[in-house]
Amino acid sequence: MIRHVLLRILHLIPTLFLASMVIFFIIVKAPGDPAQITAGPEATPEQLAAERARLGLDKPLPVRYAVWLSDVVHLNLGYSLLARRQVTQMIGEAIPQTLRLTLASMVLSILIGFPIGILAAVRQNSRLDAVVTGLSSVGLALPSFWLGILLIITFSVRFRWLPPSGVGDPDQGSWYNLRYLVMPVVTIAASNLAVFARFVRSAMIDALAADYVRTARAKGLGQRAVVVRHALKNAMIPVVTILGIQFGRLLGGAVVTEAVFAYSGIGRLSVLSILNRDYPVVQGTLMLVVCLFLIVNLTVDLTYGYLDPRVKLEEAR
Amino acid sequence: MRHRVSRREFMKIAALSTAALAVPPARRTVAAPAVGTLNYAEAGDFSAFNPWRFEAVNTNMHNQLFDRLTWKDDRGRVHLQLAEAYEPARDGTSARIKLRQDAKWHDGKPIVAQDFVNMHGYTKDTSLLAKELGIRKTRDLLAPVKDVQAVDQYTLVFTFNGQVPYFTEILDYFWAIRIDDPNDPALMRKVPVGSGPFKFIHWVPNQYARFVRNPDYYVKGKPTIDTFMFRRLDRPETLVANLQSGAVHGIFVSNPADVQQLRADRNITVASTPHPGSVFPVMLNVRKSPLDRKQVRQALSYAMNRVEMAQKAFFGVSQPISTMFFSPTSLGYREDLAKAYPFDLDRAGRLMEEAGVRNAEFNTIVTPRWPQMKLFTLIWQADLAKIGIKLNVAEVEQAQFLASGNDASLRGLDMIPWVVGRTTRDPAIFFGTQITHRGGRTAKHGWVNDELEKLVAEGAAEINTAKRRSIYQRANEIIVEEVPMIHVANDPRIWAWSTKVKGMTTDLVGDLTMVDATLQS
Repeated sequence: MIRHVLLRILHLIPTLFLASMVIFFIIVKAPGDPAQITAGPEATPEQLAAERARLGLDKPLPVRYAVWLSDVVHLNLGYSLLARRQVTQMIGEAIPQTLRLTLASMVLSILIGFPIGILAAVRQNSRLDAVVTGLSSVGLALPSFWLGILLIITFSVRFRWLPPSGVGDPDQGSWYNLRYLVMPVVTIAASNLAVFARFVRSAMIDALAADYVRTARAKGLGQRAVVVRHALKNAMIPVVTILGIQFGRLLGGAVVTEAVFAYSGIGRLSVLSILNRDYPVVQGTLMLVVCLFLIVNLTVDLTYGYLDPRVKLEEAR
Repeated sequence: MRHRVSRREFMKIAALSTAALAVPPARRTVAAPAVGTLNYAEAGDFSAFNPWRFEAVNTNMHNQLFDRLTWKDDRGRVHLQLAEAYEPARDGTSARIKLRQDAKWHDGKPIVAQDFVNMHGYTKDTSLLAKELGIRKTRDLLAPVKDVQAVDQYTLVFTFNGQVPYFTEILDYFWAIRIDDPNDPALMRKVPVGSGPFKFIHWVPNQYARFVRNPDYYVKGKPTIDTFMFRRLDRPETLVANLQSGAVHGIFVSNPADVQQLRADRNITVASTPHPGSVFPVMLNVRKSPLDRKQVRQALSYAMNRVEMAQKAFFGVSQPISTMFFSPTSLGYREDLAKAYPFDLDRAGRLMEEAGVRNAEFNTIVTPRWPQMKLFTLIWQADLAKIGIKLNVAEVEQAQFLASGNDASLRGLDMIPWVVGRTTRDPAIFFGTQITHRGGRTAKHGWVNDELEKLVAEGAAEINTAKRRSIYQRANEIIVEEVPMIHVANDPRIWAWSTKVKGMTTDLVGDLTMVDATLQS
């Protein structure tokens, strides 16, 4: 098992190398010049040239890539061109916010999405199933920017119950700052739980129709034992896959939601730095997102072995 | 069931009513301003705390933390700040400044003449110049200043390279700063030490900067508010919701489309600068045919319905203009030029015919950064189509837009809408910094006019105000006549405030000043 994990980690190295090349060259080749953004529309050609030199943009691209890659290997992501702060520090500030948002919305989505998906599958073609399927379609179709703005108008502008944006004030207590998390979490959870509900329902319907479930029922097991112990565990493989994808996606930043709520997470940091052509920040955040995705994928793959012993047997061969 | 009032009850009510009338009403007093925290929000985040680096995302912080020797208010009147008095020499080649003796830096050190000598030294320090764009920008603006000397602890003498008639404009840019750490000229790594009405406490990137009342401020009793929380929001679309929810007391309105909604809210006051320095022109690529012909450029200007644009693209907050010197406060102002090129499609069509141009097609770009641009360009596009001119408009992100606009050949495009500032500054400053509006060494898109270059040089050295006015009015006339760019509308800075906030003002360029602001409880 350890050998298998180590091999999988080794396989990540070429992927990361390729990703680093794509990340570096795509952003550098995108139209736009960071020097023009920092210098502003009034800058003279002399001022622009001096600003390019200050930002190190006057060096050849391969040299810049080699220097950057070497720094990345040493966990030095450099300084932001605009904010003039260490990229690791900026990412370090954004990551806890993104983790908080991701975990809270995932927990909420799972707590609601899984039970209603299971219920809809167990009572397939009932009214409850129709309601769950209908609502999950609505949840999937709702654009998060629209839902976010709707929540702001209702709960911030109309009722003044919740703050419309931001992550709170470090000087205030965590209970106070929790208020800032409510609307972004609900916005993300709305679409996530719809995805989970649909996947759980579909996987459970397949599982409940399987021979081993019929056998379990024939043995006289109760409904709860059949559903939870036999059907659910087997239905989890496709669900865990989508869970991993959604989790990785959110760790990369819920870009739209973070923007609507001015929530300072990784998504907001990435988008702002892309718009400002802040190369070190873009490259740093994207490399981080790639790493997180690869780790989540690895974890998901390893979870398959627990959920389905046949996966272990395949590996053993 | 009706209740009958008995005689006893009636007497009781009457007695109580009489007693109530006899008691004098509580004296109505004007609510005293509350000393508290004023929350203000803008989109974007700080890129530097050095006021020498004037960038739109930072400028409303400047007047809160930093002071100048003198400053100009929104009508162009000069006010003393760190200077107690100033006296330009008769020949215009030097000026003597007396500093006030009660001004202190935020760390308690007195502000003395040597501080300004040091500041001038920053503009000659090659190491600082290489590191900080703001120092380079200010160096260019202070270029006429040859030397700054401390005669005594509180007396300064500025010596100029020649005659400098716009001395107070230079002082208006001379923010008092201290670069204590040469590795941090942007003043981002450590707490910046200013001398203004508020002291910097801390900054949470992308969230807020906290400024508190400077207890040693030399204007006694000011500022009135205890804490000024400068909040930063990512998306400008969320600003209005923050104000309407009561999360903040004031916002900088970056999209004029929000103004109508804000004006409809009785708890909100909308304020804007009376003489904004920024304008929206459309830069024309005069290197390309047929824009190398003056008649074509004039035709395009006549085809621009500025009045409709002011209403529909700028939502009634901007003024339609035909020149950058649209404000009567400018030395180059001429009323006839400010209203040149009234919308006239027939005339535009005739001019195109005279130029021998048929079925012209032009390409331009706009950016979501300035939503007004897209709106006015689309209005223009529809009108141009009526006289057989096709205008192709593509929307691109800000980085690509700036790169194209700053390119010497506009990346092959025929025209690009742009934003130009400092139009209400002295024209010497305007022409010295705006490479879009003149030819010569800095000609960006091919238009060169020798007479204009001569006038610009003369105006910068002439000390007779009447002569300067005449020079700059002629320069204005040349630009309006030659149309190297088409001016569309001015760009006022707009704020929306809770009605609880009073006393906000702005300086000449529309930067916020909160020293007199009060917050009603």
